[in-house]
Amino acid sequence: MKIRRFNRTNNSKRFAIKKRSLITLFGATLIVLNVFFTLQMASLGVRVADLERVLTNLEKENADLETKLVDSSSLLHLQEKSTQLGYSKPEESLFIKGEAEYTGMLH
Amino acid sequence: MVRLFYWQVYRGKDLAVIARSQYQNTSQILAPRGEILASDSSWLAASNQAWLIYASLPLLTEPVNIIADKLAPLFVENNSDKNELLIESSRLKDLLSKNDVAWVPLKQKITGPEKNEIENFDIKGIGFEQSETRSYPEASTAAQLLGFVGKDKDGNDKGYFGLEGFYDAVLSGKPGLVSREEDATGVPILLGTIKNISAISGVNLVTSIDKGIQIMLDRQLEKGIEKYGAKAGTAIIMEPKSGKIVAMSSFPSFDPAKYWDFNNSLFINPAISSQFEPGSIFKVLVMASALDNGVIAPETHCDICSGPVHIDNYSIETWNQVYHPDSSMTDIIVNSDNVGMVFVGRKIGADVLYDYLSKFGIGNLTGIDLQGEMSPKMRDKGKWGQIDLATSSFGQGIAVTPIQMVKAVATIANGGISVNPYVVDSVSGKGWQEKIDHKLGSRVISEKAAREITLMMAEAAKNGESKWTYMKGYNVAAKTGTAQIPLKGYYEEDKTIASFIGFAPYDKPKFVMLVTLREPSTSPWSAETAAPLWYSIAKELFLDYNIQPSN
Repeated sequence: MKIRRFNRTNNSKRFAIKKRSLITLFGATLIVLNVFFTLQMASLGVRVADLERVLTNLEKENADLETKLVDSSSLLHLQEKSTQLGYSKPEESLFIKGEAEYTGMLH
Repeated sequence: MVRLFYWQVYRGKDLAVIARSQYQNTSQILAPRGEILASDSSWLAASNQAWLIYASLPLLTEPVNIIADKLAPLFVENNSDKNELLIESSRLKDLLSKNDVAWVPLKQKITGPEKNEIENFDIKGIGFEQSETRSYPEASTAAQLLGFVGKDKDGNDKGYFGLEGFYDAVLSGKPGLVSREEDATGVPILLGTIKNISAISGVNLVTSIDKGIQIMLDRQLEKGIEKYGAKAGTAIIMEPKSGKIVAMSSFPSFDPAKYWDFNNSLFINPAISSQFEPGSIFKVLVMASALDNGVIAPETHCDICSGPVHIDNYSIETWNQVYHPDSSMTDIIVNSDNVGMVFVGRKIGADVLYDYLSKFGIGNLTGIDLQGEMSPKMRDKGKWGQIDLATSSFGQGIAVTPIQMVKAVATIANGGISVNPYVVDSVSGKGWQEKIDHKLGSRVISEKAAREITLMMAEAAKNGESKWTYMKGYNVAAKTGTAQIPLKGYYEEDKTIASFIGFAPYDKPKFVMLVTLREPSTSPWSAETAAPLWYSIAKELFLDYNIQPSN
């Protein structure tokens, strides 16, 4: 039976190498993640800019619709239109007392 | 190493500032101006999207002449007017040729369709900045009541006159701010600093103005001014129980959407800012005061009414040289007897009359929520001579504004309790509305005195000088007033202010209305001008308020 001598120096070295690799791997992962998320944020920024453009267009459409609504609900405009369609305000109003009188007027 | 130290450390701060100015972008968020709505929530004034068109001069690639000629037709009112086009083109060329600036504004308040047309030209260096423009869908209806939106000294939108001026702070809101980092293409850098202050939109005003009645009043007043050959006119309709202004109109007027085309003098609202000697319509206030004070009763008889009254060097006469000896107080109002009113004035006395008139609101601002109200001052208490008392008792030698007269007569219509006139009923925003609490008035005269003077006014409307235009059955209480216009210390004989003030139905008044015409040329008398105009407007109001004739 061969008895191996316990080599403390070799094991320490191996541990140091493993530790260094882990740190390097960790660092590399962090860098990769950093780059990845930076690219993600950049593309999100583009998305935000696109959404802002869509929002601006929707707001413009909304404003245009409101302008049309304001103009078309103008009472002066409606009065003009009703005159064109042949409607007119009655010149005189008659107040009638009761049913009998009204029926009499119809005949 | 030295160079590294120089750029990194020595010039580091300067470079950081330059870099920040490249990627830091700060822009204002527009606060939309609040809208002004009628009582049915339809628009009287609305805000529309608009743009400021500008030129970044270093970025222009096309010749200045070509750009100016492309844009000029879109900036003028009348495309076919060659002269106007030439002037506009020349103005644009001057702006685009400037050497000492990098950015010039070319035109404000460009509308959406105009912007689209300009964008189609694809002119490099021309850009747009969002702004707002005000639109008035009912054109110049209630122009002086609304006011207009102009610019302040810093070029920001600001309301002037009327509601736009009085409520400017509330309507304007507060702009917001966005400050963030952006790359060269304008894409936001989300990892950078972002500061966001939201804009606070302006609040909407919901007024008591009935749009249909307002438009009718404008039309009738304009027609009346033309028919009676008057220089100007004012009409106010108010609800006597609440003080709500239902309609207010004055001519000549202006278009608030194009205010720059009109003389400044037209912006002032005569209904609240112009003073006039009221004449005989003032008699009802003096009579009401005397009745309330108990110095006279309706059946009291005038013992000086058989002829003119002489005070100092003056002679007080009746308007038609007809005298009614032993007139009752009702007769004095029906006949609009100046001598009879001198009798009443002497009975009440100057100091007591002064107190009553102050309580009626004469000599004081009504506090109506419109910019530009003024009040003529009453002669100081204790400084009234005999002639001042005499002339004031029939409405000469004393000045009022139309809104003060309406408020005072509304007190009579409201059973002796005064009301404070107002235009804005409530304020609203997205998803909320809040009523405005308006100050309540106080008792000026007793209910008994109010009833007595009301019956006198009803008698005056039915049997007085305007009886020919009286509408039977509608229970109108009213008074004519024909006041001479003072000019440099004397009264013009043939120049008058014709007024008619009244309310109906007098037992449960729905409205009080004043119509005044300045210098009507067809006749100087109110009974032949302001009175028939009042009734032609009242005819429409009877239908609107469902006031039926009593028989």
